[in-house]
Amino acid sequence: MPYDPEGTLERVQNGTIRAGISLNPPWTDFTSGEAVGLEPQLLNKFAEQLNARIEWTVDSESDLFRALKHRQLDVVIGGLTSSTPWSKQAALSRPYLTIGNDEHVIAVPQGENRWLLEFDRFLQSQRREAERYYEGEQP
Amino acid sequence: MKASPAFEFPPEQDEALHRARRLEWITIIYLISVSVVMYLVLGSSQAMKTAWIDDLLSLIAPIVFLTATRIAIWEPNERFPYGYHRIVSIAFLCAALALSVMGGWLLTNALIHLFKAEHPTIGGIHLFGHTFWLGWLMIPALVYSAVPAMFLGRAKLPLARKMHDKVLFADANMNKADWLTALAALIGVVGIGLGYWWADAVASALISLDILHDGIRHLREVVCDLMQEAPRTVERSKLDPLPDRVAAYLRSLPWVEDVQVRMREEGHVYFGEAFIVPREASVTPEQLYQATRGCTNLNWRVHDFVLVPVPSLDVENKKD
Repeated sequence: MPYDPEGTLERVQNGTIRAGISLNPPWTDFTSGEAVGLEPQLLNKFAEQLNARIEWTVDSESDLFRALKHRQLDVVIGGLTSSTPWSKQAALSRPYLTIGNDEHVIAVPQGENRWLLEFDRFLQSQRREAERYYEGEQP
Repeated sequence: MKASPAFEFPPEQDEALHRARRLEWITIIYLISVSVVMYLVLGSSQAMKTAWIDDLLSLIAPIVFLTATRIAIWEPNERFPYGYHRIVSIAFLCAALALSVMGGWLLTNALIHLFKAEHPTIGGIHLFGHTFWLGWLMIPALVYSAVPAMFLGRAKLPLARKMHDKVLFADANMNKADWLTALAALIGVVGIGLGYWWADAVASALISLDILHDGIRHLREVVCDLMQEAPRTVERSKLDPLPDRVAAYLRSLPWVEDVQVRMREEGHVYFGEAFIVPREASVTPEQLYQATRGCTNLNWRVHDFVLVPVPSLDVENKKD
């Protein structure tokens, strides 16, 4: 336990993660035609662990969260914090980085509890690295 | 004006009252600790939220009991010549209303969740260097919310019978039935864990039904009390035989030809009147006084009793 009601984790393993990304530098960026920034970096590493490839969708937060709610996406990133107004539409992960009062999180579909737990575990293991990356970004 | 007697309990009941008050204080402290523990592990499970609100609502009955048993023994005065006994029923009415409204609201919520197919999210929690599923913590929290409650309920039941206290009786029964709520929530949480998102909403609906059922049952009972229904035993299953015993006692007196007794409950105790047809035309005040004493001595619950000599029981109390 827990299992995913819609079987997300099982589907993405050795498969495809449908990831939504909204531009919010320095957390996420896509201007070069490729997802870059701390969060895409984390997601790529996670995908690697699951032997999955990532299919990116670049859009506004509101469109991405609508898609997430309808389970057309498996994860949304975009420099979200735990106080995001979208928290009712999605399940938020545990923070991978805390700056002041801002807890930085990623969003997954509601109720996919195994998928969320895997994310929570992965992000927990990346906290130190995320911190180092963030400090490196600061001038 | 002759006020109602101030005395409420004989020593045996008084001792039960002290023990019941101590148990209710323990219940309050325990329920507060349960509410805190449950709140910490709520997640977004609707079943857990409902069980948590159920725990909060369970606080009402002990609080009502502790306040009402204090106020009920206040001495009657010019303003309240019948004393304060009925405060118990009024407080209970409020509690029953709260239960009914809350139960209805929670049930609606559960059904909305079910029809909107909302998938409850329970994520990870990071404790002692491990990230594990929060659902695992909900299970011991639910057990903590149920097991001590059952023992408290069991300990309160005999006291409620002894004191003829309906609030305490209802409270004890709700405590005893708490394991049902916990079990339903537990099934909800395990259901979520196994990937059945609807288990949560169904469990929540079951718990709210139970709250609603308690509320409506208590509401009906307390309205009957306030309507001055003939006294019933605390279990409510049957009429209290006490008024019949009082009537039988009066009928056994040599100067009594026939008698009719009516009684009503005021909190723990009974008030009432007996209409007596004497054998002879004259009844002395001393006879009436002794007979009244005889009635109130039959049982502590016969609290305030009035004897009325009448020429015949058929005489209607119509105004001319």
